Amino acid sequence: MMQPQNQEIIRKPEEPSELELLTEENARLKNINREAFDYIRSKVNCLLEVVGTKNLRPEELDDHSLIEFDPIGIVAQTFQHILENLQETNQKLHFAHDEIQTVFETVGAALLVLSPQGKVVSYNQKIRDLMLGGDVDFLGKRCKDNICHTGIDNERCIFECVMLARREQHLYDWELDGRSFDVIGRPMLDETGNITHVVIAYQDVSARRDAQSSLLQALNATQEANAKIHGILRSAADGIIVTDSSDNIVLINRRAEELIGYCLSRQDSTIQIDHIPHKELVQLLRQAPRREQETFTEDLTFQPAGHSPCICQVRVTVIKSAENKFNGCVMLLHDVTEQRTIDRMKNEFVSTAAHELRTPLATIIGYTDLMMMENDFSAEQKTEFIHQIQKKAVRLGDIVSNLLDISRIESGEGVSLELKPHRFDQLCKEVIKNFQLQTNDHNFVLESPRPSGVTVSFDRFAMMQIIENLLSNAVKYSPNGGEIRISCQLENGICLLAISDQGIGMTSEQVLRIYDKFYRADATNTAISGTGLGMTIVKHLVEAQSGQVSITSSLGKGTTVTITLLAADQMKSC
Amino acid sequence: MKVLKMDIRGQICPSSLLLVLREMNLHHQELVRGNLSIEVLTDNRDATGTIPDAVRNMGIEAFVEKMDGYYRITTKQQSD
Repeated sequence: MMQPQNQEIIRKPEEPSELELLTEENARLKNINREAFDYIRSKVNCLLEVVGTKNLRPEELDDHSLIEFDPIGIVAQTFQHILENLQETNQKLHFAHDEIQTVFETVGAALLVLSPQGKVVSYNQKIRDLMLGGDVDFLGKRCKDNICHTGIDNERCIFECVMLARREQHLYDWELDGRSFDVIGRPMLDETGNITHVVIAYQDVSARRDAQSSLLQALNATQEANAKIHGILRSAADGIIVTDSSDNIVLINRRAEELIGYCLSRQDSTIQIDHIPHKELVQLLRQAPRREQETFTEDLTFQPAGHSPCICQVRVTVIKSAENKFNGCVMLLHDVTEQRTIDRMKNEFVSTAAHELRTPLATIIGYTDLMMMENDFSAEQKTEFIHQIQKKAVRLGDIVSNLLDISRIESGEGVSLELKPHRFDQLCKEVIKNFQLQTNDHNFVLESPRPSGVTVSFDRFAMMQIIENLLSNAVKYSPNGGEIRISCQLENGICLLAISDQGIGMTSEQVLRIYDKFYRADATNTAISGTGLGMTIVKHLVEAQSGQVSITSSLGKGTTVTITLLAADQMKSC
Repeated sequence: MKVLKMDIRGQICPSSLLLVLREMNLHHQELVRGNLSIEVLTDNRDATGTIPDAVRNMGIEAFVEKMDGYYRITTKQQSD
């Protein structure tokens, strides 16, 4: 019989049921799934943290959506793009670095990079060439000890200036070893604003400074030269006017202003040639561009304020460019008043001299022709003919003598004089006698102290020439029957010889010009012979004997010429 | 230039960021070439920091404008 009590029933463990197995498997899979989701979420959160955002919460994205949405895929692909961008940026940075390094080495300035402690971090070849020299490496060494070895104040230390100001600083004409630099220092700051480096650029301006100095000297020299030229032009004796292509007056000197009587140079604005108050001058300038000749001249008359009219030879030179384009004019106003007056007087003289020479010559030729053609003249007639020929020959001789005298005077040779005491009154008598032999048409009256007369030192020949000239004028310009008075007086050691006539007289203007060569007060009357040289010769001969000539004249009433000479005893004491 | 408009108002970070990144990944070539710009409307303040940062890391510029009650983030290709 079977005893079931106290009998351990050993039961063979039951095999798990299918359900149990499935449940267990399901739990295990759930666990694995949970772990997988947790893993995915943790990785997603890691990635999201990297991109700087919050964790992905289950309520925001459940497990099912997590797989479907694929945040890891999204972030991974994003990272791929970020990485590509970083690689591209890196390439650019490398390229930029190479570029900067090239610029750093090849730039014209010497570049130095310092740490905030003033130690050399980097420098380019220019620094070595200009400041360091040799092959010693200065990296890590103090800038002050190696570059500014001469010792420089903090105010002139660009590094100290930049560290103090914490911004870009400039130093000009910074000197080192005889060289001059313009220096720029700039700080490099980190994100917090602290200085990480100081970059210093040294621009060697020694050559530029020397060039500037030379240029300044050249400029000063040019300005001085310009001032000199301007001064010379301003003070030139000739008037100068310079115009440009637009007919503006570029330069006008003082003389030109005097001649045109208008101060153009004081005007502030540009002056057109139309402002020149001289129509003919303006016309010349207007015509200049159309003229064929580059230089042409014309005489114009000017009336300077407070002065007599004057004649100027106006020389206009056209300035042309290389392309033959009109660029303006240079006008020179040369005063030729005296020259033109002399020319006119010479012309008058040639005419007068020809007339004077022709008259006696005609007489001589006439008598000689007569004597050659006819032979039946009486002895008295022949003598008269020869006398007339001789008389006219003497006249020709006088004219030629006058011309030679004036020629000597003009050439500065002068006339050789032999001063000896002579009786002035007696000489006058001799000359008067000669005149009386030639003409009875005039009444000569001589007044002199008697019986002693007047003794004066003079050259006899010259004095005779003087008195003859004066008496000749008195005779020529006095009416027939007129009195010609010769007064010879001695007053206070001075001899006064006055020759007065009752002739046509002269105006004050004519008196002023009476000593001019070839001047004849009344040139209209060609019947009166004369070369216009007599009074010039008289004046010269009198003054050569320390005397003086004066003239008083009244038109229609007569003229008195007075000569003063020192008496003989006075001459000795001189 | 084409403009892709994304209105993700109501979404918070990081889903806002992930949505934008997904669109950027899809259209990356066009964005890089400068043929496309993405305009994102969001009312999540955090997104105005995270989205532009992520966009810029990809080499694309992003601008944020404050609108009436929301923000507009616009992408634009950087010119070299």
